[in-house]
Amino acid sequence: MWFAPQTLSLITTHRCTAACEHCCFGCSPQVDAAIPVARLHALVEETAEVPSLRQVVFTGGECFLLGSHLDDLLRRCSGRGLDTRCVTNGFWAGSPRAAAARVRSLQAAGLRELNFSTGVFHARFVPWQRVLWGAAAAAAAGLGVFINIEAFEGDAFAGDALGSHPMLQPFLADGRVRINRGAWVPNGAERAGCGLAHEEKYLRFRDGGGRTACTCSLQVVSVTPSLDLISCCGLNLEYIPELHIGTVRDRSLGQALAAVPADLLKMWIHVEGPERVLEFLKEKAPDLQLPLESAHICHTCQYLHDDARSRELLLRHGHEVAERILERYLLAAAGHQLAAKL
Amino acid sequence: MMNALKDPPSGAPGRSRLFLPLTSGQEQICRKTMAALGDPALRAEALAADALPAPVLQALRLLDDPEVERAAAGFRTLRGPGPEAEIRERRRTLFRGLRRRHPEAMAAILGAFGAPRGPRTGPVYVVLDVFTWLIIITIGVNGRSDHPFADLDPAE
Repeated sequence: MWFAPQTLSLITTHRCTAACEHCCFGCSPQVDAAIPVARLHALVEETAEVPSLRQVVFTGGECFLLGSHLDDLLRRCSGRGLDTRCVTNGFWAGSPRAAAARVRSLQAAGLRELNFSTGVFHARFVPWQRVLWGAAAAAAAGLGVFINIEAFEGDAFAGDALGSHPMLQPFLADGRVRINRGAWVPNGAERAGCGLAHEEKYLRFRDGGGRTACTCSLQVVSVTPSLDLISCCGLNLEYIPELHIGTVRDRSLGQALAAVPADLLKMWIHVEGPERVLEFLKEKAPDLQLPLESAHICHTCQYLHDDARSRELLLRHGHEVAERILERYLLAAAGHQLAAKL
Repeated sequence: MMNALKDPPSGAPGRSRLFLPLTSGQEQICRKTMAALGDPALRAEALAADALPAPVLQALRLLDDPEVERAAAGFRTLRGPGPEAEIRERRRTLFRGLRRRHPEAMAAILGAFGAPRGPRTGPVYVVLDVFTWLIIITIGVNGRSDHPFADLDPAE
């Protein structure tokens, strides 16, 4: 292999207990696309056979709809020495007691980290208190907890109280619970005029910041419900065909990874991020339009792949950075390897 | 559902897939490095052959530092509820040590992540480290805290 992903993200299903506006995959209770449970187990086994892969993330949709299958899958992961994380909207944490019971079961199965998604749109389907109870139970059990709250201009989320709630205070203080405000953006099928805007501090091309590397490109690989293999875990992955690097429909994960052709653009996005790629192209063609309204790295990435002028410039000038980007990518891979040993 | 995604599109109709291939030589370097990263025996072979870029070879040597192995074994005993802060502190101590023992390799790796390259000495030390602190703060604000060396103190 020419790259060494460390995380496999299993988009177990597009079914969800919520149907949030602008959801990146259009998830809802009505959608039934899912990876069959037997294939999920096989994918865990295949992950353990790929030396660089160390972590499996169960996401969706809502991965807790797997019920006790989720516990079985976590057990299989920990039995094979794989680190685990689940991403959820917290619907299952209906009370502090219910949350504690579910977390105990997950912890016994080997879960290491739990991520919650919440905010104005999620809270229309899942009260934020469930996130509080779920997060507090998980942190008390020793799991790492990350809460991602939707952010957009004018949002008014009662759950912002999470950041100062006494149930979470000790865990926020010792770093076991982290809360992040992440831009909630239109999904890949939507265009301008969908009603979401963002404060300046979220804009990717703002003065003095915003142009970050994409630590997911090539570092995380995902499998979708249609069993496509993806080179990241990005929000717009269903709308960027270049990210679809193979399939595990008729071959193992290892076989699919070995067949992926080397691509400088994915390395470039990994070490510099799509904004800096576009800015490089703008140096070559000053009239190039940049997506200055972009509030999310995945949006900029979709623009980079979709925009005809950017594509033409990439093909003409991309090779000029090859040596520099390759060396940086290899050093970053060494850094990830060093960090992963610890 | 306004945005139900029944049949995910495969991109704009008629457009070809954008792809920037490496030369065969570049791809070979890439494959050899990845193999060496994951396998100590292949790493020893790569180091003996001396056919990879010098900064990459330095980074490979760092992976075999016995201090890394000792620390990894120590961290494993700490896993479980509670000791996150202790693990973080021990990671910092380890990285400080690695920076002292392998300054060029660590600087190259940190540079690849866009992180500060300290430690520095001499009369420009203070000025530079004010600058690197600004970079660290910017990285944190920008959500780069997930890169593996974001918790390194640039002044250490």
